[in-house]
Amino acid sequence: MEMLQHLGAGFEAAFTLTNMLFICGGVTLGIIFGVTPGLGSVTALAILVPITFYFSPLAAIAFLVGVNKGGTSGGAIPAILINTPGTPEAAATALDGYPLTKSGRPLKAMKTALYSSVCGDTFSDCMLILLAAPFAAIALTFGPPEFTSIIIFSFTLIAALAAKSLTKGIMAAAFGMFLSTWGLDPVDASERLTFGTVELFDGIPLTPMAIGTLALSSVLTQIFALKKSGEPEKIETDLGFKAENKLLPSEFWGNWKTVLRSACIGTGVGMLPGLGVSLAAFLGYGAAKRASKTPEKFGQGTIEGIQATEASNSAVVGSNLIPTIALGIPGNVAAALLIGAFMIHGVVPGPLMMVEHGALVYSIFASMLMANLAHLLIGRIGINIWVKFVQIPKKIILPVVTVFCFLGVYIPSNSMFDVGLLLVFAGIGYLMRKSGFSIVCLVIGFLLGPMLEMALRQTMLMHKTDLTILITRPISLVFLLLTLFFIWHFGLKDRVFKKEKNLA
Amino acid sequence: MVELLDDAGFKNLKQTHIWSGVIIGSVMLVFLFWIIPNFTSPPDSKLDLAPSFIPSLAVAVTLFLAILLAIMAFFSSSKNDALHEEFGEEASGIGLDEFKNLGLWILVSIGAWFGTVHVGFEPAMTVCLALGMFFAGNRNYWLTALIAIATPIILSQLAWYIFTTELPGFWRT
Repeated sequence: MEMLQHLGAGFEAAFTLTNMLFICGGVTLGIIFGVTPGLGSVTALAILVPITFYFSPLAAIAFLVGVNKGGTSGGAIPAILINTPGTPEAAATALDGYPLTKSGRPLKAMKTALYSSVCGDTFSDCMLILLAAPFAAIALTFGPPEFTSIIIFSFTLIAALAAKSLTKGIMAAAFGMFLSTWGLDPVDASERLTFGTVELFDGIPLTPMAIGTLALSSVLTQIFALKKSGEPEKIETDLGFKAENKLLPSEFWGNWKTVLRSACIGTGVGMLPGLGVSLAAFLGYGAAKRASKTPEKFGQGTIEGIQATEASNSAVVGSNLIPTIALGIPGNVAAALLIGAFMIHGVVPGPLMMVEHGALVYSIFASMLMANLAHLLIGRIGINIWVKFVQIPKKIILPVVTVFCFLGVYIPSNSMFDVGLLLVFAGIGYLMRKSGFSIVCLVIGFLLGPMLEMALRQTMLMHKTDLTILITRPISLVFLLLTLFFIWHFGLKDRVFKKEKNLA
Repeated sequence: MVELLDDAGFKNLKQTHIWSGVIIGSVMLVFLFWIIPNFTSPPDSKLDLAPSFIPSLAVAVTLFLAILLAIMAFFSSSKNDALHEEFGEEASGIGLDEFKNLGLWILVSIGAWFGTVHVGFEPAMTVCLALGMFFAGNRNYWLTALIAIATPIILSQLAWYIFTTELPGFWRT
């Protein structure tokens, strides 16, 4: 009951014209970035987070949530129209979306994707609203030793699941953590790896690091790939005839179980740090196929396949904020960027966030629900416009995005030093992409590093350097044991069994 | 190194792993034994960790895993195709092409940075955009010129009128 009152107050605060405009603007930009070849929601978030420095905290987060929602579902449009997913998570959508396009029903596929996406998203947001406060209340009982263990556990989980190799995942996360330690020491404010450079006293800023590694390096990789292999001259997108593209309510809601199942899968995946949106989409698709009476139709152009993938991948968007708000640990890279946005506005995600900024959190929840409605309307009204963005050639859009990256860094900081860092991190990101190191792990390591350091140093100070406290406190011990289990499961088990198999 | 720079088809990801381990390991050794001890302060209190502890720990973990990566890759029987399948199409391994691309990026970065600082945002970005579009394969020169000239001007006006941020330019105060 109390939760509903808070949510009501949240709606009251969020239901303003300015906030609605920011939400609609965010959703529109998100869809455009999602649809445009070579971009995507992560690029959109990375570039737009620093610009929100000028907004109020609520408007900023509402805007970015809109971008994330729009970007996640926008990626489905090129997947459906030209079999080229705008975002990695939309790859599963292409399995049934593209065959529908080939059979002359692209609009039907796009409408199905949009409605499923909104359903999954709304379900996930409701779960976030229901679970964030209880989880945060539990987390409030934790002390520094528990947080130390939870962060170590998160590092391992993210490295194991977000990266394709545990070794390379932990390497990237540890390197990110190392980069986060540059600047003044958080306890005694002594200089640490600043090399006498005043600009480094506050440490390496998140903005150039995130934009450089996530957005600009991706653009670079694609430009170099274009140089090598070229681009098709013209992308044809035939929208077919109106009658064939009609989506009847009975057709959509006839598969409500698929939508609900996928929304549950996406929500579950989003709650665990490190599990990607793409995984949710493929898990949802697989579960729908197994449960279907006509599994042979999957991959041939069934709307059930699109419903399964889109409801799953969009359901991750809301639920990945559960660990972010309850523990301050990002569920995925989009949540990591949202943490950056929270921090820009002086809000530190974690269990105290519900206590110190409860009104803001519930206003954000209300904005998320409003964003779903905006997403439905904007997505549906603009469906013929989004198709045009699919046709923008990469050879034009990618160089333009580099200028946006430049501005995204320069505008909030007014610093050419930060622009220099952007260019350096883009180069590092390019090498990491080519050699298969996880950039997601690097960015999350960079964000979790200071949290781990604070938790560990507080543990040391409170318990007079006795680190056995980490194994004598039950919750802390559980998370350390889980960490060991994951290292065994993802790093060692396969190798041992492979070796045994080879010997046999 | 010759094998690493072999550019026939997919670059050898196994070799990339070995060399990544060696190079990252060497850099981490420099950080661990020279840079961190010389550029961090001693601890303030006996109860607290030294400021160098967390950076050293992170570097030590990276170093250990870099060595492990190199050793595992060296003794690995995995076929390159399997590795490429595991790490995805983007992770094609590092070879001569990637070093050339990186070198080009460094040159462009230096040019863009100094151009922006000493000449200004609009001229520097116009040149970068035009070069970028040409490099990416756009041969419609009118379109290139239009986008390369208009985009920086529009963006600089937006930056000023929306965010009151003045972008670098020698003609501005």
